[in-house]
Amino acid sequence: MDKIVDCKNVRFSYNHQIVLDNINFEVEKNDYMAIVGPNGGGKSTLLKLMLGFLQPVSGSIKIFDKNPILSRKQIGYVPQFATFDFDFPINVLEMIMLSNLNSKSFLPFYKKSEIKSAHEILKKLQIDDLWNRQVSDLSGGQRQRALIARALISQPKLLLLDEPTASVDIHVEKDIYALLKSLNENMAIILVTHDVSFVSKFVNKIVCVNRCSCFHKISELKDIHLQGFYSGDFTEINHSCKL
Amino acid sequence: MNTIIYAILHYAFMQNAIIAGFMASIACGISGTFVVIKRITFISGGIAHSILGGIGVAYFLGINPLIGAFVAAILSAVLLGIIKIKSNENEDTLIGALWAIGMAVGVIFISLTPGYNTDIMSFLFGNILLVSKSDLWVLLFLNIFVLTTVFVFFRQFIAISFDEELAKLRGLSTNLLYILLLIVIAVTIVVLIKIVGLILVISLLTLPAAISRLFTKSPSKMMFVSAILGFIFVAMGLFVSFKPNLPPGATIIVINGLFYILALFFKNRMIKRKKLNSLKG
Repeated sequence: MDKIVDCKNVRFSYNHQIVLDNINFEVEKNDYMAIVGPNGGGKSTLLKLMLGFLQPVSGSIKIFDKNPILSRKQIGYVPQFATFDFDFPINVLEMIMLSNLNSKSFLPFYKKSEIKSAHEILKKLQIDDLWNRQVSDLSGGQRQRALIARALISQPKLLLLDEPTASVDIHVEKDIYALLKSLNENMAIILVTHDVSFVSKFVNKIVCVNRCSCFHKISELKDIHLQGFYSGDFTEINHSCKL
Repeated sequence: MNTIIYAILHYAFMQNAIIAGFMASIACGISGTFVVIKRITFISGGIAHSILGGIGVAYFLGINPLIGAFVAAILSAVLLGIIKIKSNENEDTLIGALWAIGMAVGVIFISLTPGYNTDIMSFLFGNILLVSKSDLWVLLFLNIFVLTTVFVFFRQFIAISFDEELAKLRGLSTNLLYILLLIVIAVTIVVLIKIVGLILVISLLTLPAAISRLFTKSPSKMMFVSAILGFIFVAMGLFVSFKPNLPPGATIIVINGLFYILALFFKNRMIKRKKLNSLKG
């Protein structure tokens, strides 16, 4: 079948401290999934496992039926925007083209076709007029679009985003979710977020992560109180949503 | 003024000094840019200072100290690269340790070597006026290495400097690239040691690049501008130090530092003016 991510009984620990345990979920073609949970609950770690930057202690993560490291070419990754180093002397176009590199990219020149396809992506994201700007000069929303463009240039089948709407205003946030929704026609999307209320209007699956995981399909959710799973504010969150 | 022009025209040591300064500026513009944008000044400092170990051993064994410096630079670049890759919280401490241990080894071997060698001072503080013809050939060779390596791996070096995760995701061998970049920096440091000595080398490596960082918008332009700036500072240092017989290395660094402070001040004014204008507009 069109299984894109298959996560089975994954356990991960940092220095003998278990961070993730018994994580199970599946992502299929055209899924749009959110990973939610409290800070320090292991969301970003889970993303790193899917990128192959970390390896599970036990259990398995398969992406396109392979070890994530072998599937990296099909993965687009949008790193956490709030902690990303935008203070680098590079313009938008070049930043995007860096994502096209491979281990045989020698010499400091880009192919014409690469430049052309980078412009096309920028047009699609409506930031082509900014191609010559320094990334440090962009506004929050523009930066986020530039990072998404960067992830898209390698034509991924799976797009992973780490907190794409942290520290942008509500207007931009809506914009970005709508943009992702339109991209979702061509690729599966997984995003890490902590604002559940908003994202649940767009996604069709949710994994709640707080050391262990709870997997929901939005269509099956009615009114679940995850007592004991979350502590504090999160116990009150209502998972029901209309699609 | 006339005396220095006379000296340049008539003395080989002055001509050698100018040529050495020119070559050093190229290497320093290229590597310095990476040191600044990747923020690895401390690691570069570790490489520079641990070179004294190699110089000391070379003196003891009676071989050309430049060879000792070269071997030590490459060794410490590789070692520091591995430390970073295996990185844990004490990376900083390990760099500091390598820094000091390298110097200590150098001091011990130098003291074991009979006789007092004035040359040691020129390695510590540099002496651009003592560059020989054979030194120039070594510098040329090292320069060619730096230039070709960076030319070939330019985009990959930029990728690991900007976003290592992305580079990894695109299948680049980030660890090997990192060690190669450190080797390029190490080789540059060996070149620069002839000019300003290993104690002062970091400022010549980083300050021209830091100045051009303020006024340029891409790494390649930054390299170009900082190479030109580096050459101007070296030449100015040479001119200023000539008549009053000051140490040229230290003079170059002081000029370097003064211009950096000036540049920061100027940049600040530019930003303020821009803000004012945008308020008016």
